[in-house]
Amino acid sequence: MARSALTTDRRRMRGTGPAPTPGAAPHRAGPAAAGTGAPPPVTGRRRGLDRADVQGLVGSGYGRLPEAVFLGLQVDDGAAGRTLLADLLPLVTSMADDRTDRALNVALSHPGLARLGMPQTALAGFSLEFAGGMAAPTRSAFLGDVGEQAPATWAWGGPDNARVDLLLFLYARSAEELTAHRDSVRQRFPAAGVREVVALPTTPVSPRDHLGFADGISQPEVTGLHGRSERGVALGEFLLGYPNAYGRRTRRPLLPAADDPGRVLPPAPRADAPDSVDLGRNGSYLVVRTLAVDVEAFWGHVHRWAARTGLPAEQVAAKMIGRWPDGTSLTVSPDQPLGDEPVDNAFRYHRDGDAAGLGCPIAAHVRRANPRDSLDPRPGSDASVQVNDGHRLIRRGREYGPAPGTSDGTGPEGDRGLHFLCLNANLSRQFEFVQHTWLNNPAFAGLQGSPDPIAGHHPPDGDGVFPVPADPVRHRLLDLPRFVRLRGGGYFFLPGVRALHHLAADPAHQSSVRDGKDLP
Amino acid sequence: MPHQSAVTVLAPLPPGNRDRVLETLADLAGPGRSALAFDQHPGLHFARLLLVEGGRSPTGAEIGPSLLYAADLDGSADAHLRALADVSAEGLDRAFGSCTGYPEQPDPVGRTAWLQAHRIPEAAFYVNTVGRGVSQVLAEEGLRRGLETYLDEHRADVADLSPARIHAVLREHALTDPQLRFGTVSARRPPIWWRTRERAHLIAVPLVLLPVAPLVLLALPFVAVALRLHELRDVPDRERPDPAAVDRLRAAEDRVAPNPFAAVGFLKPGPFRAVLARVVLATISYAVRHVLNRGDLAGVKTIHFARWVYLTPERMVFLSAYDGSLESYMNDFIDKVAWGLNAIFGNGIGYPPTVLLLWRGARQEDLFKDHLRNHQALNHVWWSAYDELTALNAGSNAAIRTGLARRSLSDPEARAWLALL
Ligand code: HEM
Repeated sequence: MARSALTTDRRRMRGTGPAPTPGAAPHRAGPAAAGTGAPPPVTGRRRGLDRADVQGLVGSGYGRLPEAVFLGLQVDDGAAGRTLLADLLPLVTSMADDRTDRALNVALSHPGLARLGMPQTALAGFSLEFAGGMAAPTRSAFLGDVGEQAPATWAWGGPDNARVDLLLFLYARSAEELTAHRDSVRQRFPAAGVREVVALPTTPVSPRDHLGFADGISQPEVTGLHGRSERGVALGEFLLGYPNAYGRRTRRPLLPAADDPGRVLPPAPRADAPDSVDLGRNGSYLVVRTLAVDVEAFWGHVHRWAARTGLPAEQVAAKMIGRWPDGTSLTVSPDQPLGDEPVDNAFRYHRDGDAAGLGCPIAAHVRRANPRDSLDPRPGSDASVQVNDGHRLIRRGREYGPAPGTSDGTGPEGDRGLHFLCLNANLSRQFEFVQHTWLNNPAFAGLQGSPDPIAGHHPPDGDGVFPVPADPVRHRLLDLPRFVRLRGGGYFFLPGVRALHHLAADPAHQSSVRDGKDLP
Repeated sequence: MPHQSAVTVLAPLPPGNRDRVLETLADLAGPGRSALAFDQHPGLHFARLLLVEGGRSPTGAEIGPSLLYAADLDGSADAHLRALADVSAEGLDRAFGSCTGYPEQPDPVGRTAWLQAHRIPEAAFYVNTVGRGVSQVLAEEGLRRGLETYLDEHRADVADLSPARIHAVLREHALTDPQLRFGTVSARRPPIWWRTRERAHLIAVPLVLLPVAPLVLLALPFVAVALRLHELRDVPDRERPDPAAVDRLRAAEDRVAPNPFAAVGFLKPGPFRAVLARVVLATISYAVRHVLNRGDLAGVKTIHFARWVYLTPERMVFLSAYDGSLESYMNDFIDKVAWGLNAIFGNGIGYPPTVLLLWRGARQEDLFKDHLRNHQALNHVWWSAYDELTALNAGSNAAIRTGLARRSLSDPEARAWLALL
């Protein structure tokens, strides 16, 4: 039973070493060492970040583990779901386990949390966007997930697909190790009550994405996330339970302290609610979007407009992305890639002389995904950056499908793309805002009829334009095709490790459940 | 070039008619759209109809539901009401027919009189760019498209010329194209009588206030203390918006570039807040009329029009037409003009706690967003003369015209001008 597992593990924690996984040989760098045994009871308040309580995906994209697969599970029986969660707990990787050779992270959807027995009052503590889910009609309209991209057409996560309550993220060093890792995870699936409904394989991490560009260069610097004292975006922008960009703690589920007799969860600040524990602390919202990328259409468009404009094809492509294929910023070096390692990412558009977009076009993907100092108030100022920093995302995506030019035998040119993953504490102000107001918005920053050429919603054969500022006269690439198509996705919650332990425990002792406020 | 006016009509309706009116509005927003014939009014920028729900005021007065019509338009409000009573008769009769006292056998004269009788004044009215009329906005969008197309087709021919020369080429092209020719002449300014009146107002108000200024300065510390005491007694609302209500609002949001926003709320009770709200609104009214009338409402450039209106002495409505999503609108408020919002809405019941009216308030993001959602009202019928043009777009198009209308530009001027295209 989940509850007894919790107590045994806690007893083990008082010993010297990490808790060995039952049945697994306690070898040094194996999953057992990676495991986060049940946390000791919380005593007092912690000031800094407890890295052992944060799932590893927040701290890194596991670049050291190039192989990954994501498994979606439907939970039909809450008790079976909790048993599974309890059995997976020893494998869950936290930010403190930063040298393991396997990793497992666990995210849950809002219905998934309900299935596991989270009381209604706690469920209502999450954001409305998360509660409604990414496939809700108003979210689809907002995100541009309509027509060919509508949830009804998705391969997973849509209304016609099996429900994904639990999403497991598995990482390993090699294909063989990933298979072994996956099998050992699957072995823990109970015989009944939980089903694997989707498996999302990924492409081994490589220096370039399918379009041929370096990705994952620019990530927000987050104050206190890695223990360094760098000044950056507030921790509360990515982890619940900490002050956000406005110095406030984003709303999250709090429970009466009585619901947590083992004191697994950290106490909630008294100002938010007296005598409560914080189920959200150290958790983050995880956005997943499976984006199929039509590499041929992209390069076809690039070559067509390279011929018409007389610009080199590589430059046309770079203008659309906003960086050279090797990652060099077009603002830093407008005319050729520099091949620098690491790539300069400290630049700003206005401050560094690219206000008009002669280097990096205003409409380019990276410039609109993070305009830095481009927008009001007072472009070029720190105030502009500060407002911009209310809309940052930690990206953790992985690619899927064969590299272009190769086929995995599933189709003529192969089905490939990006499992776009990003973390944020406020779906509405961060992910949704970026997707809607910056990427999709054809009038972004005063543009007209120019959605993001890569990741912005626009009709497949619409009249979208991509202006390339030039001196004295701009180019305009017309008839923007759609290169990217949404194939699935969802809003998930990536709880803190302690919260996972709480969720895995039998809710029978929880007062609010006894009061009859539980869900089916 | 016309000046802009606001029209606000408020008509109470018997509570029993509420549901019927909602049905009518749903039809007028959908299949029955043509009945209102808003597109037959040449100078109409935006128009809306909304049912303002009833409620109980903080002093206990019971307020019934009412139907509100609001329009942003070029020229005079009286002329608009007359035109409305004639051209939009069918829609008006259907919408207002259920309101108390609407003429039994309406004719244009009767309707006009009724509308006039139900007009209520705006406490403040913001116009993004005073003088820029609908026809100008639409024509200048055509001008931009024309010039863009010309550049798309002839870029190779002109790219080696100097910027000033390219400007000259584009001007020559516009002069030979009957569709674009208008763009070689500057937009006219609003009529002289109107400008004179505005200037007189600009000067007269400070002149009148000058003698009382020392008194105001002396009173300020006492007002501040009184304000702070009031603030300490305020009760901010902690209620989370109802998810179903938010869903309904969201379903109607963000359809086109300019979106309608409406929020209704009661003022905090007592004479102190009543006077304070009047003073703040009078200040805002003066500021937006004379200073903040060139595309920028204290840092926010996405608002086409906005107005603050007293529905009753205790109850206000704020209406605006803004670009983008409500989320981005609220973020703009919080990031750029929190103090301005606090000054006005801080006098409303339930607003997040302020400090000396201008501080904190909206900066408490979560409280502020919940508060707005809780007070937001659905715009049941919404009409816009330009669905895809943001205020920034319209401003940029106007700048293109201004540059084209110049006979010649220096190279640096021409370079900056070409960057608009
Ligand atoms: C298949 C679709 C996509 C492709 C091929 C793609 C590709 C890229 C590339 C090549 C970069 C530059 C590398 C870097 O700065 O790390 C980048 C940056 C970025 N992308 Fe995407 N992206 C896609 C979708 C998205 C989506 C859907 C979002 C957000 C909703 C997004 C947000 C970002 C952000 C925030 C950056 C960093 C910009 C910066 O900080 O300067 N991307 N993307």
